[in-house]
Amino acid sequence: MAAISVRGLTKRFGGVTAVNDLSFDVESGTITGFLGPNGAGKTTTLRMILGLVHPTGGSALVDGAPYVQLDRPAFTVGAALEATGFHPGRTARNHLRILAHPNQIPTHRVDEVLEEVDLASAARRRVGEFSLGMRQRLMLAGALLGDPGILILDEPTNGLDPAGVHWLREFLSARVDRGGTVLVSSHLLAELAISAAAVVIIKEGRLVTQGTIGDLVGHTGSWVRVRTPQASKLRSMLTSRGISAELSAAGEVVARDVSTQQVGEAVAAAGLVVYEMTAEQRSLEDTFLELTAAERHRS
Amino acid sequence: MTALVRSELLKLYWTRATWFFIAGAVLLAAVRVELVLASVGKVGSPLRDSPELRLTVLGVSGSGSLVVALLAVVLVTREFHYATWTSTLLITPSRRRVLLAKFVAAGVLGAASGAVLFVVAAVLGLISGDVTLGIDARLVQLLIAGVVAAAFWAWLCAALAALIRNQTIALFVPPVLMIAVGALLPAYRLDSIVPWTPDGAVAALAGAEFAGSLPVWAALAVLITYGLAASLAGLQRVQRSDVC
Repeated sequence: MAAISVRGLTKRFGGVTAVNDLSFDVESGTITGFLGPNGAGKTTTLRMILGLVHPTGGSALVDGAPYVQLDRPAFTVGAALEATGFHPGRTARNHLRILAHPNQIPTHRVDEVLEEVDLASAARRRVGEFSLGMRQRLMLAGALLGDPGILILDEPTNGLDPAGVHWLREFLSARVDRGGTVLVSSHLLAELAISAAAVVIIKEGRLVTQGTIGDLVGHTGSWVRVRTPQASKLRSMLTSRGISAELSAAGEVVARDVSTQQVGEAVAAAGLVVYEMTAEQRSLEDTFLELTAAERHRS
Repeated sequence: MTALVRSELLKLYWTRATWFFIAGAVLLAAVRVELVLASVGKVGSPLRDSPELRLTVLGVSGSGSLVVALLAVVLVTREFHYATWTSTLLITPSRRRVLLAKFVAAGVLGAASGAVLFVVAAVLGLISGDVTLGIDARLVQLLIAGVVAAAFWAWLCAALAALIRNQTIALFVPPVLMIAVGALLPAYRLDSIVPWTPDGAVAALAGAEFAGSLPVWAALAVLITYGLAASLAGLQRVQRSDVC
């Protein structure tokens, strides 16, 4: 069973359709990136999954049930949305104790999650004095209170410094290693390419594609770029071996869907001079831009 | 539900503004009581040791309920003002239960404050030496009426705040309901409506007698009707709205 299942989710605000017949699944035990350009409907979708925004149509299930029907949801799913929902006059610890209370989560758990997100030393400081990065960590601490199996995070890297981003990546990976599931929306595509196993890409409220990073990036584009003074000769030789190769504008040979070992053996067999050989792959960012641009042209 | 109510009370307890509001309520009540005591013996004022003076002193202590009602408004609207509504609903997705807990917490806050204000007025009266406070049925009625009235105002204003949601606008509700309506209706010769207003029903609850004043049970029914109607309207608004 998928940890999160979205079926035909639609949301219209007046005449504006923010999310349009969106369907996707988030498999258990994975980090799934939720991507889309600004205004694509990511936050609205996450808020519909969490019962904060009423869908115009469709449904979203978390652990097999609508979020609002979960009994004590803090133990099933933790969510960290934008880092603004704090009373500035309360301390970090009291903010969490207020969240813990309705679910009968003991105070020692509050101290544990503050420790987990590295905010123990700021526990008794008022949230109004916190930086954006500290608020992000506090928001995450709130999501962790019930030690849930599923985390839903909206732009959790906003305000985090590089060390914080690295910490978050390690933290989320550790949770997934323990069987947890994470759905995370982020603009940091390079970061998601490292940590996420799968992605869901939406644009203008519609699904563009869903799949593993490997499916989207790995199989769609890898190549070997060779800088050589004998580019034409190398290209002909590679072509004769059934390898797709072409000359780039810079006079380099670009061989597609081939390993550096294959190219190296071909070069050695022909006795050619090579200055540089680089294996390259399309990044998630390339794929994202290409897919969302393709959608734009189609629409 | 108990845990939810306790959580709402903790929100109040752990916010500095709460204590400023309560201090303001006590101060307002104390000033009003002192003004009454200062007028003792003057023309048109109650006499020393008279039942009227006792009624007036204990009655004006209720003016502090205005500040407590403002706090009840803030108890609800600050969730929207600071966007904490999102984290509240993530922990407890049932908006009905959360709002119900807020109304109960507002009522508890009002009742406790009403009792404190009553005690403050009684102590100031006793210290002045002008007021005699024999414990009798009338005193008990005044105490109960003071506590119920303060609880009612806090509940009603919290419910209307849920309906309005905008903190700035909602903060006008207590002064309008508790002061302006009672003053304006007679001015527009609408005295017959006064007994049916919240202010009129609260006065009747305390045993005040005026043209058309309701019996205590009817006054209580009127207050409960107002509270329920405002609560249902607030609940409808909150249930339907998207938390964006």
